[in-house]
Amino acid sequence: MAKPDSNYTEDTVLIEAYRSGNEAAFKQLLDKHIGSVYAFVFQLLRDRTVAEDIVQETFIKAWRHLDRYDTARPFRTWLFAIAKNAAYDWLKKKRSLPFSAFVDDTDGSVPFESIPDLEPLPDEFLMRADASTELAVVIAALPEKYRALIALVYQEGFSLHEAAEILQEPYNTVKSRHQRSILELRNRLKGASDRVDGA
Amino acid sequence: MPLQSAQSLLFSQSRPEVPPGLSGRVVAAIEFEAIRRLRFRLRVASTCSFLSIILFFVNLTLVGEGFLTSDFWLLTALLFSDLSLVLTHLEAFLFSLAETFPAASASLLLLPVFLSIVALLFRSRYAGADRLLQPLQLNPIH
Repeated sequence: MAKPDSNYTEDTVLIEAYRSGNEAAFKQLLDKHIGSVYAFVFQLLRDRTVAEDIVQETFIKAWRHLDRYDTARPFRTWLFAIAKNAAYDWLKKKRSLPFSAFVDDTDGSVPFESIPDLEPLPDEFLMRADASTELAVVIAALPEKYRALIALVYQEGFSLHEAAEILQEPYNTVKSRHQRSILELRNRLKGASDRVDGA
Repeated sequence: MPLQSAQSLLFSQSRPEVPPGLSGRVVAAIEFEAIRRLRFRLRVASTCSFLSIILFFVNLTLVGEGFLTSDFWLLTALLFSDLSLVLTHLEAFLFSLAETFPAASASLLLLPVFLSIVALLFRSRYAGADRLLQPLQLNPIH
């Protein structure tokens, strides 16, 4: 579990205030987190209208269960887990995919553990002026499970442990998925760079 | 290129702007949900109160009939007709009274009492809930 920080303490104070009958406290929680929740859901679904609906659903669920929420856990992690579940439910309904499609096919052990974390993206890509824009396009084309993890870790600054809690999956699975997502990103960026060079 | 550069590029990915009014729509949806839940609970409380009153009178009639046709009532009548006999055999009389007490029909009266308690609990729990029927206060706390 993440160490309590000022963000965590502030959330706890707001939750306690809400539980004591201060309705404004929930509005403050909402204003504080809506941006990051929306960014995460949008990254996952790539559809603004649906993302808005999912964000709305997420906060309604959070409000509904706030009385039972355990303040020993970080609120942000809990909120993102609700958002992730709502987004995955929507994706499942939309595509009628079996749940296994959203679950990794490995238990997160070998062989990805051995991929070094250094230099996760190609050097030639990082040198390019339009690297950031290109990266956004490539990330958008990644599978949902990779996109979700990249959004959580790099966009929202969650640790891999917190990401594992949000995704409700074992830490090792998330760790290896993180490495695979970087590998996938690297391959796709390399492919994109090769195409640019070849043109 | 050091790792820092690669990570900072990933971290620097711009966030999509939150659509204007989304926060307000979420608040409105929560208010709607709060009012819906409150109304449902208050409706349950009202239904319980109403049912308990109806049940009370129905049960009172049934229990009254049960009492009047029971041996218990016949024995009780002895108190008025032959008090000296009752006092002579007081212990046996009290045992007989206890044995013939129509407990089953009397317990029927507990049902409306239970419903009334449930309704009162609902009412007392949501006594201050009318604040939920007001729009959420948007003033930040200090």
